[in-house]
Amino acid sequence: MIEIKNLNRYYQVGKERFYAIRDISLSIKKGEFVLFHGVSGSGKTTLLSIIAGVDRPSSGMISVNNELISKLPDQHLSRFRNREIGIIFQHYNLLESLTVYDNVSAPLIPERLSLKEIDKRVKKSLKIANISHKANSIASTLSGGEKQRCAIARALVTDASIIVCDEPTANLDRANIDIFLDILKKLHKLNKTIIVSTHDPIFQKLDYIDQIIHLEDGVLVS
Amino acid sequence: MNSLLLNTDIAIFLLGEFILWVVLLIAFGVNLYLLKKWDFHSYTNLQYRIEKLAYLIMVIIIFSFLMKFILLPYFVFTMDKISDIVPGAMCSAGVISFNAYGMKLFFIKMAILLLLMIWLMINHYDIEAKVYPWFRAKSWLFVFIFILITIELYWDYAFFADIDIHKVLNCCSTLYGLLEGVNPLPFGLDKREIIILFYMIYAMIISSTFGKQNYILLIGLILFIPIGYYSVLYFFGTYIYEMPNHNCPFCMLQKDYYYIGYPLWGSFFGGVFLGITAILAEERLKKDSKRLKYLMVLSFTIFVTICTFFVLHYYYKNGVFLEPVKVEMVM
Ligand SMILES: Nc1ncnc2c1ncn2[C@@H]1O[C@H](COP(=O)(O)OP(=O)(O)OP(=O)(O)O)[C@@H](O)[C@H]1O
Ligand SMILES: [Mg+2]
Repeated sequence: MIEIKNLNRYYQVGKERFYAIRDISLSIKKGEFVLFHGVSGSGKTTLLSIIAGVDRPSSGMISVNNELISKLPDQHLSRFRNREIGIIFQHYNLLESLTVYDNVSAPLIPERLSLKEIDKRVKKSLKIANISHKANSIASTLSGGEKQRCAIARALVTDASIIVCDEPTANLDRANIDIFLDILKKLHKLNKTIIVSTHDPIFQKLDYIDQIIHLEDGVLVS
Repeated sequence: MNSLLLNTDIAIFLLGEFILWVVLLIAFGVNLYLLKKWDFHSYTNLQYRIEKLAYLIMVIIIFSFLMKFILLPYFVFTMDKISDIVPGAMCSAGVISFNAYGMKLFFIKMAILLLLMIWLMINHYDIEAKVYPWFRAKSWLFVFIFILITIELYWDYAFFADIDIHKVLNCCSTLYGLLEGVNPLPFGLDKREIIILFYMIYAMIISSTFGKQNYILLIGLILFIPIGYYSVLYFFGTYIYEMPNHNCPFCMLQKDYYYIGYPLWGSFFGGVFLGITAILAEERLKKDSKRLKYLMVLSFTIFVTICTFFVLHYYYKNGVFLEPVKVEMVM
């Protein structure tokens, strides 16, 4: 459950305030599949970052799973992010010199689990993300689509209830886009809350989208 | 200008205290601003900025506090060092009682350390609770601590500035030793009774800790302050010095006694402070403070072990215990 009320995020540019998002209010229920749609610069990444606890708002209220995340002290916020949110960045942000397996197990390090439990969870996420066969490959040797699937597996491994993807299809070809959409459908069936920011019209055709949120110059348009 | 202020160690110490005070002064100013504007339930830009600022100030305060914990032993060390250049003083005992500031300084430093520990404890639970339930409490406590630190800085300066190296001083043997033969022990106790009490109170502290009886623990701590102190002064200390009539809390800080005074007094006061902090956490903040209590138990156990060790060591070496020599005329 995500509740947002009168959310603003601005940047100080000289003496002016530039609003990346302005007065956004919305709510997303658990298990919903939500699109943030808008042209480049409309504020999609900004809004997504605040929901994911990567950025903080300038003003306004945001609560995620009943936690007022914008008010959490730093150490709580990073723990929250690690447990509740799976992030798939546009450029994947993998540790290029490590194997797929090690990349995927990294978020579990602070959780102090047994090696057996870690292994179980990593294998499960690799399977959902369709990348088990590359478990022992070095990340830098993967193709774009495989890198993304590795990032998906990493986002799943802590069993986060919310998955956010920033421009997931921007660097994929048609075949990989289809594989990706398949995985998203699987996650949707697992009752994960999924938020995708995109300007790719392909998403609008999907029949399992619950909400499309249009952004224009940082403002919500319906 | 008094020549002692130009002494390197004193200059470093005073400079260190001063720099820390300036940092804390800034934190103090910001802290007052935060206290005035703080409204956790608001989502305005101002409140978000304040929360960020509060976090930054907290980091600064924690850093300065850790420095304070380092500066206290350095203060003692400095006093010990200048006892070499002050005629008549053989250890810090003479230096600290040179003027009226010495003992005041000692007590205010102790009070500050205790309050710092309490602030750190409140801050820990305040952050842990996510909604800053003790923000105002810890901020006001910081205001109070800052005032004490300001007084302390002035007394630090006044203390060293007032030491005249041409005046002959008393040393610990005249300050503490002379009393021997009258009735040196407090509360009309004799040596055997105070030692029995010493171990009994230690046992009482340990058992009340594990039995979760905070009021008994508090009584134990309050009793242990004088009993622990006088036991070292009039009994265990004599085994450290291996001299039956040498009653001084300071000489043991010197190299001749392997600086044993630092861990000894450190673990003693550390235990007392940890205990008080833990009781406050449980009784006032309603927080389980197991870790603090374990640290307290550890601290006191180190203290009691050091004390006991010197007695056993002496007995093992000499086959007898130290007997105080009755002295009618000293020196
Ligand atoms: N650190 C910053 N300083 C100043 N302006 C910024 C900063 N970060 C983002 N912005 C501005 O905020 C606006 C929204 O940016 P955002 O990245 O959210 O857009 P977007 O919708 O994700 O665009 P894209 O589709 O190109 O990724 C942009 O105009 C951008 O220039
Ligand atoms: Mg973007």
